[in-house]
Amino acid sequence: MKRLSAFLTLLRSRVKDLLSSPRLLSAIIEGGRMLIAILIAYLVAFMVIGIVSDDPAMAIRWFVLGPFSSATEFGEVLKNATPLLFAGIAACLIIRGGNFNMFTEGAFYAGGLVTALVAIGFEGPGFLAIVVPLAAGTLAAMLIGYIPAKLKAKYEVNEFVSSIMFNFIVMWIGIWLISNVVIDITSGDNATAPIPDASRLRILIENTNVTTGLLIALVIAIIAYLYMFKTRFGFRLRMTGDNRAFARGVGIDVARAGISSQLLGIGVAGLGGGVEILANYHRFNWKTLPGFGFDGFMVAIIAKNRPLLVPLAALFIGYLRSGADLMAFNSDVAQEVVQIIQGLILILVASEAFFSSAWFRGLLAKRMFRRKRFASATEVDRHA
Amino acid sequence: MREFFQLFATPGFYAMILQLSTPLVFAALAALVSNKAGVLNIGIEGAMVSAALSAALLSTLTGSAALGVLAGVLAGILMGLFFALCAVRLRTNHILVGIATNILASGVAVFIIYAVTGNKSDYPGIAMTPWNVPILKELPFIGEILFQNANPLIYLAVIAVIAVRFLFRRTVLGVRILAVGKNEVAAASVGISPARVKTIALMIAGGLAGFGGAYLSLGYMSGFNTGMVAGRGFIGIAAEAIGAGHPVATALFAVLFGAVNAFSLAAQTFPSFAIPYELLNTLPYLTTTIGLVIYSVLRYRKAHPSPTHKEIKP
Repeated sequence: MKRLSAFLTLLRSRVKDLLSSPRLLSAIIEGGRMLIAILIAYLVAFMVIGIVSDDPAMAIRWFVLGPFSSATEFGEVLKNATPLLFAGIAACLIIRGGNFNMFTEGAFYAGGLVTALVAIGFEGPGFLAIVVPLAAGTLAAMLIGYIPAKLKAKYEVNEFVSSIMFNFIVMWIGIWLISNVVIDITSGDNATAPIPDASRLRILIENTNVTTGLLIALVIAIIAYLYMFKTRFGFRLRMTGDNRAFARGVGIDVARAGISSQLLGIGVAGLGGGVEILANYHRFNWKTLPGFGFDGFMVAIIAKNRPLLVPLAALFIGYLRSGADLMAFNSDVAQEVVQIIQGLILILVASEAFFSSAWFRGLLAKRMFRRKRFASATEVDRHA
Repeated sequence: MREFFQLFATPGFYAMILQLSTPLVFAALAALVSNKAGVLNIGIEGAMVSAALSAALLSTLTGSAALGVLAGVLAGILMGLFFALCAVRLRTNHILVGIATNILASGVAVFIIYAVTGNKSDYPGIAMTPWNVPILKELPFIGEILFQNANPLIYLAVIAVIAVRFLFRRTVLGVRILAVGKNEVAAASVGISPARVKTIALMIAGGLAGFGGAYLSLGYMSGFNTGMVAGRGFIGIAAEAIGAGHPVATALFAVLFGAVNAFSLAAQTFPSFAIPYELLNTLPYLTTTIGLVIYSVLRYRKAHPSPTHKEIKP
């Protein structure tokens, strides 16, 4: 009895410690913020659906519950989440290094195209038929991505603008290739020859479209975590991103850290493009940019730039997408309603003021005094 | 090769340059006004998309192109206000707000078109009637370029350049925007509200982008389609970066990119020109990148003079 009570006191104090630890508290607050942001975004989306749909209840039911209606539908969630997982990890690496290199978008395209071409040309034995094309796609993406990264590090060329221009250039060169050079006329489309079966990724779960690509993505997420948080290279990368001047001051080669973070991110995106093609396409036929690059930044922000949270964020966006697809198929609402949700979540989650302590103070001040004095005091704080 | 030289002798080519430059000039000016207020505004692309769609929608709804343009500008201003709310009030990272507004704008555009028409890419609009300036249009060559079938918004782009220059040179608001962009704390200490000034600047920028978007759907084409902005907002940002914050230089670089765009389109019609159109389409983006790199290298050299350079100069 005595022992039990001693144990209980110990347990109580442990729990108390845990509850009062700042990490847990901030995790709870962050989680709460995230939930409220998602809730607001959903509310807006439901209002929009309510306005445009003749049968909003039906549309919303498909949107929210559709993905759970069968194993096949849930498989679609996992399938949609796979490229987002790659893109999210890529964005994590790039943002943590302090850059906004959007070439992840072009990297998906280039990686996919080169992977498909190598898979068609190289008919290697066994698993090499998958590994070699994927490696080639990754390398090709990194080679192109090296240019904007190096230009940023050497001459401070705005990497955001230059990488977006590179995206368009890569896309048009790719379209030129698949409609002139590597076109397979028998396909009746501007597309490459079919990808051999030996190179296609295996189905992982029966009756779904989930392939081994998901496993590759998860492994990449874990490797990215280990790299960023358990190696000195990762430490340099995070230091450079958090405080460039300080990192330079303690002797970190910030230019190199910046380049390597962008290159790794772009490599992951290129691999993601290759996996997407080998998993879901019989031929490469993309005539627009796939959009995963931008999505990746959103996934990374929702995951708070933590690689181990990226799978969750990717799963969530994948769920949104497959729900929207089902809704578009079964009702009169276009799936682009997802973009409204995504945009709002991105803004609210990334906001420093939304649901922060200052925000609460401002709200309280307004409620209690009904005067601007308190609010303007916080305004001054902010600028001081 | 003969077609190549003929191209530069036809007034139609220069008229095309003006047409393609106009949206870029508006986008670049929008980038300039936001940049002066210390905000990197990537949402210009999204503002142009929503303006182009609103202009097309309102023009068919009311039957008047002028009201369509007005709606486009209003949509642009609203997007600017939205950007300001997110970036200034909610203090979200500017680049992320930009990405989010672009996602929102393109999503909402497709969503609206689908809800109204049932297809996902096009919406018709009523094009503005081009102006024919009497007497001046009779001028040889120049009259054909500048005063025949010219869209009013092309003239407005020129006026906008002067107006933006005037704004920063001669008005209190302009100086306040500059002050906030240079040093927010110092501006706040003399009683300027940085939040308000930034909001106003972003709304002006949104309005300018709105003119660019409205021009695309009611001037350059008659109707909206989803891919029509095609990175023009970003090219505008690049032109502003190279123009180093000077309105006239910025506009000139925008015209340069417009000229490359016009060339890439015109060259597709040459029978003997063997370059496929897909590769010609990369030209505007390629020149933008090269221009940006050259500018950045020059700026870098200026900021970090090489030691050998110093030795030569006593």
